[in-house]
Amino acid sequence: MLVLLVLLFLIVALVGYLIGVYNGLVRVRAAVKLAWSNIDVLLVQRHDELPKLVEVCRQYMRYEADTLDRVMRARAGVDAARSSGNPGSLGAAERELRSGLNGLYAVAENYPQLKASEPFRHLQERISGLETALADRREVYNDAVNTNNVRIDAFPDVLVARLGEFPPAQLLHFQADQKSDVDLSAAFSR
Amino acid sequence: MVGPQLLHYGIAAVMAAAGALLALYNFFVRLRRDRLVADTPPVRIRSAAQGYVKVSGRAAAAGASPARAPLSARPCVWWDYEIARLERDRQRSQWHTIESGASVELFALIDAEAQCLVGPVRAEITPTTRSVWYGTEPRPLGPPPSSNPLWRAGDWRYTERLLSAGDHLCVMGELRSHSELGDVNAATAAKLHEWKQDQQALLARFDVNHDGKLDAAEWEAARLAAARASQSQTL
Repeated sequence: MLVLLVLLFLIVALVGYLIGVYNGLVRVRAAVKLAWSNIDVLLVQRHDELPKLVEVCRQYMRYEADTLDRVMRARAGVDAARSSGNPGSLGAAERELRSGLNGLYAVAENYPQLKASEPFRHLQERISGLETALADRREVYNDAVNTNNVRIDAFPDVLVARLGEFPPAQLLHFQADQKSDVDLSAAFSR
Repeated sequence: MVGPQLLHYGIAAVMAAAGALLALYNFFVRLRRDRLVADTPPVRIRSAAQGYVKVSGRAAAAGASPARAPLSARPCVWWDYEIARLERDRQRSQWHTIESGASVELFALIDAEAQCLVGPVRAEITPTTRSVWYGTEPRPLGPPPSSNPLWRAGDWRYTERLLSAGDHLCVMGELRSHSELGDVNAATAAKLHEWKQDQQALLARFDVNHDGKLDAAEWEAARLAAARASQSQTL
């Protein structure tokens, strides 16, 4: 009788533990999705702001159509990558957009009237603010991805993860360019 | 017919099983909480999305000056306290809680770039300071001694738990923007105004000495209750 009770207790403990592990895996998977959604919100906001910035610049920059078009093409690329939900392609598209924006800001130095205009300054600050928030949320996303990936590979969680649908998530790397300084001379030579 | 020995054995077995189940339940509750803390990625306040978040930073007073702990008068951002009295009978002596309370005031959490307000009502708080000292009066005559005395002096026990300004905290909870939350102090005032519409009910609830009016201490109790009620609704 005592052995049966002990056995029953152990079974209850094991089942409870496995339920806890499963729920924990569901929670970290949901955290990854939530972190991605929080990045998505900011990408959409910046997507809406960029045409306004380009339009303001176009009023002053008569001979910089290539620079402006590059930003708009990169914007479309980011939007496509965002819709696909693929961190790898989003990272590449984001790299292209940031490079385009850096070029735009560098060229804007040649147009004092543009730099002094209130709409340009406001939009530049707004977009910079969104990019700062994006960088912060990318850290949160990568944190969530790391937690998810460690959990689904660690013992004993790996046993439960293999029974359910818990794929590894992909880290989000925005840019290799971010590690190097912006090439201002190249930007000014355009 | 069940023998008395077998009955005792059965009772002991049931009690042991209940104890084991309770320990197991506590284990799962703690495991779940620890995993929730470990698995929730920390966010920066300046870029945090609304919803359930984990933020860390330093505690600070929400207003111009920090609060004062009710028993020791030490400056702090959050407190709770308990006053207990030792009651003895022939067989044993036991501590009975005579009075207890907890701060309902908001305090600020500041990280490297921004700050948010923290509502402590219904929060599970691990204090950074916990003091227990003893005395002979229902209220302590001074702050806790700097070192624990070798023997207990008196039948009154004072327990105070504090969070102080500058303490490093990790806070988990629902984050709301200021525009969505509104002014919590205004919400407290509105709640008090609502209660004042029914004077009889207000007196019945807070007029402890039954003199037909609210003195300063009773009004403070009403204000704390209103703050607690408004925070429960908004936070």
